[in-house]
Amino acid sequence: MLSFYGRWCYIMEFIVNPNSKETIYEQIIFQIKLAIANGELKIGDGIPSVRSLAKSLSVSTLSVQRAYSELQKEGIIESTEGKGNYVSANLSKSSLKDALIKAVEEEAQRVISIAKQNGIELNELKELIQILWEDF
Amino acid sequence: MTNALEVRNLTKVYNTGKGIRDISFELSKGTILGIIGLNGAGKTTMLNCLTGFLKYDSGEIQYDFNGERYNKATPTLLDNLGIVSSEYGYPDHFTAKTISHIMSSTYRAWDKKRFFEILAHLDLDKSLKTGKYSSGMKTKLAIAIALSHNAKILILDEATRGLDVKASSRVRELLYAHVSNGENSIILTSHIMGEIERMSDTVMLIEDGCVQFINNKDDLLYQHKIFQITSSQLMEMDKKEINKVKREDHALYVIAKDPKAFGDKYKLEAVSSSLDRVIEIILEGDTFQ
Repeated sequence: MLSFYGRWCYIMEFIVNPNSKETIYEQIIFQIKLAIANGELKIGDGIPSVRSLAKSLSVSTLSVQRAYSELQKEGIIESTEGKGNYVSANLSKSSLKDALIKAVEEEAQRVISIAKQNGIELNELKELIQILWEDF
Repeated sequence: MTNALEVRNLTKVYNTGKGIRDISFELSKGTILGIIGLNGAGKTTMLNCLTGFLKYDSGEIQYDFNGERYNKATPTLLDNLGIVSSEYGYPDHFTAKTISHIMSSTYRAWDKKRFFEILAHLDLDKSLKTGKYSSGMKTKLAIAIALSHNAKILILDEATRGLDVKASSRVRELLYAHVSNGENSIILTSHIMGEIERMSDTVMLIEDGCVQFINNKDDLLYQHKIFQITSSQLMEMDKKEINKVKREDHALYVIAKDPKAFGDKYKLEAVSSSLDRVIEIILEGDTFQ
């Protein structure tokens, strides 16, 4: 999600899907958390301004604002007058890890639901996961 | 107040019975409100009440500029509003230069430099007589004027009329730049749904003089996901689950009351949607009997 732009300036890129089961603001929250968790965003790094992200994605500033408010509430980002939004120094890895585990858990629920609906047994599913994990 | 504008129970009814009734909404600072509705629904009537061009019967309009509140069409109000509409009235021999000269006496904060910068950006010749303007040029001029007197709120009624793709794109950039300070706001109406969908933060639908809904654009699209189904599938469904149904010759579309639950229950994926498809189904679809 990071791309190289210009000589030394990294710009974060987002992808949102208006047809997703998740709302736009949920997708934004998740992508920011993911970027922090995998090191693309570091403590102190700036996050796009509300308007510039909304404009880039053609989404409502209200959705971006909501995503940022929730991230602020969780202590993941901070906002100061004039400096904009940035990744909080007070961010605890654990607050992020929980989010990640939760995200993985939600995905797992979906996979399990599909498997069950289609008569796939737990051991088949385990085997499948094993193969995919090793291939990754 | 974080609202640039608050409107409460605005009513203006003509002798014909047409007009607007009980319209209420808020415009947050730094946001873009897109207003959609059929011709004759009341959009222009409402905008004319907001700008003071039309006297309304009842209700309240409250603006907030820099912490000061205004509710009358005073010169100060008009200084702070940038208006673009289809009204166009300059003598044929005027050029953009002449108009700038006049505007400097009309507006307290007329910014001549910015005006000419915008004209250049929009490829409009400042020495061309307005009598020779195409409709696109008239639009460009109006937009340039609206953006050149430090207006806190832009009111744009069909403001991209006659603009080609390149010019529309430039205008869009200017409008985004205008609201990027978090203080300036825009109200725009358009029949070009793609434009409204792309630019708006909040979307309001006016039907028969009343507000049908007003919502965050993304929430609106999320809550009105469109599913494609067959008649036999429809027969299996509970009418309480369905908001609207629209029949095409060879396809059937529904908007569910709870799209997430609906999709999960019937194992359906929503089809790729757009604001105009959603509005079409809302306005022309039937409720499921």
